[in-house]
Amino acid sequence: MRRITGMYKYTFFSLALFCCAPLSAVAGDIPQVADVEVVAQTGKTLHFYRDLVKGRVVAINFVYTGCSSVCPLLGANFARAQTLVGDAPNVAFVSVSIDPANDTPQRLEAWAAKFGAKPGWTLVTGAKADIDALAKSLGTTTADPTSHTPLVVIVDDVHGGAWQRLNGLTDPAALAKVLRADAARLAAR
Amino acid sequence: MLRAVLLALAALGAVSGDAVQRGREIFTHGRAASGATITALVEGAASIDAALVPCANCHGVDGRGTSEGGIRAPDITAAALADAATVGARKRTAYTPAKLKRAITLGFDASGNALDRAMPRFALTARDAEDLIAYLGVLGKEAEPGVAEHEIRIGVTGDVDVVAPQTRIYGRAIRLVRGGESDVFAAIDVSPDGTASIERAEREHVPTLVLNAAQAEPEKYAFVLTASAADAVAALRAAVPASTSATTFTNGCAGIERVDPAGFVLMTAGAAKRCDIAAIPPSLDRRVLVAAGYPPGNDGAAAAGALALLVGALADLGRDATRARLLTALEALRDAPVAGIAPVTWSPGRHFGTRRAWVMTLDVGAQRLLAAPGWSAALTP
Repeated sequence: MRRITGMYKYTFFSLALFCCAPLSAVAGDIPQVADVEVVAQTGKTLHFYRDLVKGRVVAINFVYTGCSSVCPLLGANFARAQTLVGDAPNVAFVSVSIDPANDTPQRLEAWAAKFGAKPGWTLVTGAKADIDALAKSLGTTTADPTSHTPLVVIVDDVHGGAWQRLNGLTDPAALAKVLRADAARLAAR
Repeated sequence: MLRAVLLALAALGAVSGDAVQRGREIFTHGRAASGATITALVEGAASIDAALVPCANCHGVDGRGTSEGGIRAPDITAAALADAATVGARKRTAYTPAKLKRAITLGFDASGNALDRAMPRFALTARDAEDLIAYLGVLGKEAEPGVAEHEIRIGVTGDVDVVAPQTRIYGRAIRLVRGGESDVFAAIDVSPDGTASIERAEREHVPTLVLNAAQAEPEKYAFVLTASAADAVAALRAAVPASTSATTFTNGCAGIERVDPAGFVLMTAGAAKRCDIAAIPPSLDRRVLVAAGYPPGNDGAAAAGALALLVGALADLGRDATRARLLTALEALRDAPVAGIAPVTWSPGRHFGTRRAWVMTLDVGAQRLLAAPGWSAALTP
């Protein structure tokens, strides 16, 4: 895990090199997604693992509504990927606010609406300590939102296996392809 | 060659001040003068409204470039574009207006290299492209409003006396101007309700420190030093036992005589101002709590503190005083002490400086507010 974080720093000036392929898969033991309480953009309280991840193929990114440069791109990418994936059952998109103190459910809902988010894309905020624990369990951090790295984690909780960590600016078609492949395996079962 | 390009860019800018103005609107907000939506194509993704990803979001209001999340948006001031440059691993020659248009609409730099995928391609009409390029031709060369060789002008609103510090900031004296003059670099509002200043700050892009906001939401240019109305209510709630009932008033106090006397009454400062104290039944003695941004009587200290905070941020900018750099400096403040009020912390996502409010208890018989329980913080969800 630490190695991959290191790689992210290294890609600072050369994002384009990594744009179209998964950066790396996490090898070894599969970590657990924290089952902390979060609040969705609808205002509903959920448990992150139980309600949003369990039994699904989930793409998770990290955003905050006050972020001006990277996050709109991440939002546009998720919206596009969601359209490309279509109605695949048990595929879900989740955006985790890394500025939970300021991102209310209402702000998240307004933010998602700008990109035309459809049902199946859940945006969550929550208590700082819970979001911290969640981010940590997914291999990232909320320490400094303004310098956060665009990242998408794909957790396949149907088949298990290593999570995939993609650059958040990955071509949405590539992201959709990964998700669809997992969904197809799911349908074939 | 360089000089020729510079002149060409400058000449374009000089063609029409209106074009520059329209170009600035596209640059800052992603909006065309015609009112038509400009679409931005993010690579691989669907087209989105350029208002979601205007130039200034990544390149900065001053065009000098920013870095966020591993994306480094380069300097696109007129001087930078007129010069050859190396951006990351890409080397490019100087831009001409035609090559700039190609970069913005098709995504190739002046030497024909593909731009970073994070740079959207903007579908501009010929007119929009001309306007935007006219603005890029003057970007970074226009004098900052309110900044002269030997002075920086700061607008002041509110009846409280504030005095400019005698110290100079890198050779420039601070001059305070009243009366809503437009030629100011930044402003402070020390009045009881800075709503008008917040609206003006956002409309005219004047960085403005506001002591008290009633309901207005600061966005990008306004910075409120005290808690939001919602946080003031939450701070009131936090000041009474969770098990007791409480009735909240945010606008006047109509119906207060019917409130359950066993519970508490919570009032924002705005509500208290519009509440006739004679209407409050004696049974509510010491059960009415009022929140304010800071202790009454601290007006003068708080106003001076607000000005000192702004001057301190200006001093950190050094000689290079631009509004964009000031906004960044203010958004980086963490627990900055301010005389007379709670310390302030601002961030790009939050322009209210604190979640704390000063909570007082009403002595109904004596008709006065007691300075207790004092500072109370809104509990985070």
